[in-house]
Amino acid sequence: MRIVRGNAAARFMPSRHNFAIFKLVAYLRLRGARPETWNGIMVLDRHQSNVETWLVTIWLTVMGGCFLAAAFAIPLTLAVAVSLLGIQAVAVASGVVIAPLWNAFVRSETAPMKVNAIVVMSLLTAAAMYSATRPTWARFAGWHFLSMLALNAIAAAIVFFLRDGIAQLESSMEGLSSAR
Amino acid sequence: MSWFRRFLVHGVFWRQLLRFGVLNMPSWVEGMVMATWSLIFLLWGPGRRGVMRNLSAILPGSSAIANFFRTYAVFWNFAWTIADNVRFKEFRVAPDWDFIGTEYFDQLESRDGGAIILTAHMGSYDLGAHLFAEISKRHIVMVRAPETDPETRRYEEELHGRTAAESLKIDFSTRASDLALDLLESVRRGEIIAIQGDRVTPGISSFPAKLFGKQTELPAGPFALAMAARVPIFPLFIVRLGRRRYRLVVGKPIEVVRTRDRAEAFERAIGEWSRELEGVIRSSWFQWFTFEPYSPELAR
Repeated sequence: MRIVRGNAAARFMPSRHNFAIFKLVAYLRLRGARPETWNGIMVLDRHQSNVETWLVTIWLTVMGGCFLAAAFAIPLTLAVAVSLLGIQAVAVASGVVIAPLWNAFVRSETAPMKVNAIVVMSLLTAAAMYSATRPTWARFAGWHFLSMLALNAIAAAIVFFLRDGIAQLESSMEGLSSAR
Repeated sequence: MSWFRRFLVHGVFWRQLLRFGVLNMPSWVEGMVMATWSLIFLLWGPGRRGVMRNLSAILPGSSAIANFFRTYAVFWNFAWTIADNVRFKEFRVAPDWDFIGTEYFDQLESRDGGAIILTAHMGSYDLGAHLFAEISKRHIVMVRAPETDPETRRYEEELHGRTAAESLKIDFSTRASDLALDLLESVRRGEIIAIQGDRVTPGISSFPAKLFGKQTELPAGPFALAMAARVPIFPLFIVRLGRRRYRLVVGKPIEVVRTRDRAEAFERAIGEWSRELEGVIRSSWFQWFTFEPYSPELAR
């Protein structure tokens, strides 16, 4: 576990972010950041960013709601509630069935969480593609979802090319060390 | 019907489900899971009523309807806290921490002899103790009440056996007399003893105290131990600030001075502790995880 002690600017470290868009924004902010004295410890884990996690959670729930509302002609508020439960149900079902099957099939030890994330995202992408082709308001939601995926893919390519610079900037961060 | 026990509120099924959730839910699904399960656990009548009654004393003049929603906030924080604890045990991923009362923490760290940490059922006691054991060179003995359900107890012990830090030892507060001697020995060896001092479990000696103007009982053991071993008591609280964010609050040490009047010395120290406890609970009522009325007056 890598940690940063006493420097609040560590919150901008790309390693604390999961999706490439957020990594890239974090990198840009980190470049302009100065060390900020702070009495605490920050952990470097890709799911540590609160802003990113909550934004993605809300965005996915609303997107899922939009696709459901259009597909089943139900009110959007009800569809968002169903989406909130549905995403969890898919993740659970995937954890029980798909992740063990996947690991048995490819003889790997892929973390179930990773397999489940791919399953949920794939289903939402399929729903977005379907919605994007329908002549309803949901096509805007569908295109929005697909554009964000494309944007994330572009950001991932940029992050890949910047990986050495990012690693260098992060390792120069004041207070960086490892803990057990 | 013993298979049914595992689905009761203290049953092992919920621990296994929690572990499944931590291992399987992507981070951006966690919030949805917490929101849903906190709502489901509001159906747990005794727990909900216990928290609502405690809130009515902590926040005088608060309405029942507001306290119902506040109870949801308590359950929400509890769900995140226990999930953070399992995540740390399974993946060694800790939350971010900030510290208040560093001067007292340094004092605790640099002491030659042992000390007692007195804390409450707030934030993540387990996570706090584990983290302390990871970042500190000191040995820590954590005293906790055992799980009431035997199957849950076995499950937790097995999980702890797999994941515990070397410098952290857990002892259970059921075997009061043996444990007291063990703890005295540990503290004299220079170890740090962490005890929860806001709730009395059956079989544990207690001392009358007032909390938020209501009569209650607080554990006498930590104060007796401090007096016998001549070590200070450090009030320490783990406060959850948000997703993967905690605060470690260390208060001014409480000295239990040996005098001829043992009861008076106890009363003074417990008074200091209950004032400290009240201050922290009042500002962080949404994470005082006491699901039974803390005072007989509230139970009526």
